[in-house]
Amino acid sequence: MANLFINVSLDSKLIERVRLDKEKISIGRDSDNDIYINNLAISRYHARILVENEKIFIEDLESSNGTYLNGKKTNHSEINEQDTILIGKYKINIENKTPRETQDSSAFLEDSTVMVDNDTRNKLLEKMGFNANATKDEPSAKPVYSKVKLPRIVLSDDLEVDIEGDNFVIGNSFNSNLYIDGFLIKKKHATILKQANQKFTIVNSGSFFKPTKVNGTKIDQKTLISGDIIEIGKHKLLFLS
Amino acid sequence: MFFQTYSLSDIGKIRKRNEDSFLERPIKTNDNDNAVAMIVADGMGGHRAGDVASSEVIKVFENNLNNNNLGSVEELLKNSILEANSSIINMSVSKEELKGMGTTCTALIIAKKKAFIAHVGDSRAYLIRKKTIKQLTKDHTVAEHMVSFGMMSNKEAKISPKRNILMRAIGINDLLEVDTLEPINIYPNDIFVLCSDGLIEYVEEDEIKKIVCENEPDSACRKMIATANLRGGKDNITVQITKVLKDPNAGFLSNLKKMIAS
Repeated sequence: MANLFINVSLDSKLIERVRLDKEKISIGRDSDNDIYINNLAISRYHARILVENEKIFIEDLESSNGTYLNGKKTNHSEINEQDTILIGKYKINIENKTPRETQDSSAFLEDSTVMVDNDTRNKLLEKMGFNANATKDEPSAKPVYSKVKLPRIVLSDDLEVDIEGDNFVIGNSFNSNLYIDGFLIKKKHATILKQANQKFTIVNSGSFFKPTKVNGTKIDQKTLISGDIIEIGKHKLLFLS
Repeated sequence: MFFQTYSLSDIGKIRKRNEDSFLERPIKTNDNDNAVAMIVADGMGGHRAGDVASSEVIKVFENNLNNNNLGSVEELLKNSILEANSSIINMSVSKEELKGMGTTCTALIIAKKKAFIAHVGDSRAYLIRKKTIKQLTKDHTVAEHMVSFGMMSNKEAKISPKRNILMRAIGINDLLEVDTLEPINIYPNDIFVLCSDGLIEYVEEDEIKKIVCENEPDSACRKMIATANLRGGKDNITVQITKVLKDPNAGFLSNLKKMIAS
């Protein structure tokens, strides 16, 4: 088992590699997991990888969004190198590195690429809002934002929200489309309105003391352009269309 | 002005075809001086059409360089990119299999003792001067955009999946914003390095500097590509090196020779 690794990748990029050197490797959003994935689609204790009698198993820990083995939901299954596990948007697989390879490439571990079978990948891409057909023959084809589901708001590296409906409300209420908190943030602080011509306008309803800003300037109402930064209090929201 | 140039493109270890294109072309200016154009284009998307998009940019540039006496280099650069943008959009509208294709472009023209650079996308231009390397272009990626607004740190951007999502590319939108850099005064021994992101993914800035400073342009290109391939080579890799040489007809010694000869 010494040369087995667990690879975690997102968007065909390897983001973490952990040596499978113990009998239980836990995966989840809580930071005390062996593999810690900070993403809201992942449960706190989502799944674990178990080693029993030289066999490797994946076990779902009653996660909210499930654990998928080669596209099918699984509770407990044996896995090997050819299998692809999907947790949220994250792809996990087992890699066996021969001793020589391990030595040669140890310095570049984080740089390798993992391939997935086409079906799993397409599903993965679709889940992420990409048009799977457009990139079918190139696993690592680079997405341009026109191929991603748009429009959307990017809050941070791993938190994005699609702008759905004609009235997209941003504010300090769980009924808003995008919940933000903070001092003097109103229940309905700003609204993104969908116009007839596929354009989007943002309307401020925040107070004088906490106005909505776009690219650093206070606004009452403004047509949004892709790349605009909406600022409300400490929050920065990137608008993409 | 005199230059030593070299360009090399490699398919990498994973991809089935090379969608990068490049142009390396000496230009004669109207005052009979030497000038040079170096261009990298990294094509993407569509159904096997990334290479169609990247080679279209090169074609447009070649055509415009043939029919231009280098009046305004900045306009030539910008207009060529805009022309390629319309041309690629027209192509993708007319043929189903070309739909959705796009390309980056980073173009360098050195003329009139200045370096002119225009770019769209995430192919980069670096300048190595006096053993320091400086990135001249700014990637048009979502990650870089977030960095510039303080939503992400440089360190996070290097590993974020958003470093691979472009904010802009040629052939996607009618309204294309082209970044044209302020012209740079050039000096002998300046070295410009242009590359596609297949290199940047694996080779750090300081390594590029080291390889380029310690090798002739041709072997430097080969070494950088070999390094990227050794570390995974998951994308096509293109590298171009342009070295500004000392003018053999200038300087004290040659003036002295001229004086003696006369």
